[in-house]
Amino acid sequence: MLKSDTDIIKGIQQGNVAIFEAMFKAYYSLLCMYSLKLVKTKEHAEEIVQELFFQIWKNKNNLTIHTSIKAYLYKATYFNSMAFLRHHAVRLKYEEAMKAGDKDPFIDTSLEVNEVNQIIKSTLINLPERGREIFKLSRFDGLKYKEIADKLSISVKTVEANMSKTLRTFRANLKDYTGMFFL
Amino acid sequence: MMNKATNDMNLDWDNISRFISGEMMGEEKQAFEQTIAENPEVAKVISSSFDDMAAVGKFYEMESDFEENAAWDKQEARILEWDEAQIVKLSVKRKLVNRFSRIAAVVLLTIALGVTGYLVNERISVTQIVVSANNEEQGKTITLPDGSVVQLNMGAELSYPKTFNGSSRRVSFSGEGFFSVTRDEEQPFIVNTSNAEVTVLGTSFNLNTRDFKTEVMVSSGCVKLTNIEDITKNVLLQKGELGRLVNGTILKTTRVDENYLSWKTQQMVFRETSLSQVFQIISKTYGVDVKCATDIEEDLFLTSIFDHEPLDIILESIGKSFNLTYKKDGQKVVFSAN
Repeated sequence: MLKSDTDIIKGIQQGNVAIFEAMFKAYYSLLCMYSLKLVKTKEHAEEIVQELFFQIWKNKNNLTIHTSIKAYLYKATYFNSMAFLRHHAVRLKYEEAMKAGDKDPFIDTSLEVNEVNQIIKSTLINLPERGREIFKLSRFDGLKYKEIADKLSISVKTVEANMSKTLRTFRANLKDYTGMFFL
Repeated sequence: MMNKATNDMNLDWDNISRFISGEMMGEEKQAFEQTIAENPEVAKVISSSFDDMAAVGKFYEMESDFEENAAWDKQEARILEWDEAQIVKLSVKRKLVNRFSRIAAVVLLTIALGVTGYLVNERISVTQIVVSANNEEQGKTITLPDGSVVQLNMGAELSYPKTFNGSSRRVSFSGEGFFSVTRDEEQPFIVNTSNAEVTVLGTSFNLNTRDFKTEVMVSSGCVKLTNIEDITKNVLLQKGELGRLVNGTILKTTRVDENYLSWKTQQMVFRETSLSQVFQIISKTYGVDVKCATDIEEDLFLTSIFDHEPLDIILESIGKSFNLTYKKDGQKVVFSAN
């Protein structure tokens, strides 16, 4: 379960590695996906996000975040990705593309955050350990309820109850984002 | 029917999720499809939930491109290294005023005597050396192969290899001890206790575990305390900080008792300290068992500083101050009213 922003900031200021790790794991992949849209290469996106977290730790004694952590991290990722593009040969490619009359590839993506991914990530993080494991085995490994039950030495009923709860949670959390075009 | 409310909770989610997970077969599936066809509310939820799962699947696929755990390991190594670099800067400054030692790190460990049996049966090997201090020996000193020095308090037990091979220097420990660890950044020094792992990153600290609790007090530098049952639970402790592992949770505080190291320093400071606490501290410092008979009033307080005083002098001066007499029988001391 993620702590409140205030607790996270306080924890980091005090040098609490466990809290820093929780924040890192909650946002790392989301920020990488976001940066990837801008810098176009996975390696550079990861580098930018790694560096961002490192800078936060380095400056933890003077850490002040006036907005939410989420807004802060996305904004910083955006600016750092743009700075990277400015200071990198990629810039040339970009200019060439512009000259060639392509649409500015950055206009649409600039500060738009993928809310759905954000919600999915935080739903996954906040699921109970067991529920998350069952869900992953079912959805991503394609196991049947019976196979999951055998693997985890639990009853099929437990698998069923967990899956039902998890799917319901996703539905509740994603209510405003997916399935809205269905009439 | 103008029933607009979509109360998902009234729906048969067990069967909805079984349907979505492909658990339904044959007649059951047909019957449920019939239910869906007849019930737009159910149809809508199922369609939306399929969309949810599609989004989750897409997210999962994108996310697995970025190996979060490996990324964290990289980040963690970097921040620990940075923290350590800060410590090095500090200790260089300290060396200018204090030519005291070639030893970069000093570690004090205190561990519940109750776990002593643990390591003997687990870690015996030909190259493993096990040393213990019996109940009379206080301050027995052992020099490890890397030059690190461990001073054992009574009943402590230390197990270490003849030579430190591999990427780290690992020892097992129970009881109480004062570790002076030689700095070697290539080969970190790791102390295993029954429930924790203490990684020394160039520092001095104090570890105390009693009744399934582990306490680490840092005197200088920084130390990593990890719950070995859940290594995601760890904390980096710095000078003046006390980390406490209780019931799998790690807490951090900066309030540290000034008599924490008294068994080693032979110095005790009492400031309006209740007599029962004074006896506890004396017991710990001198490895004796000081008690008071029941006829002594509860609210007696002592303010005094003792520095390397012989035990008898201390006991006598307390007796005089409070008009008490004491009887000493081996390691046991009992105070009673005159």
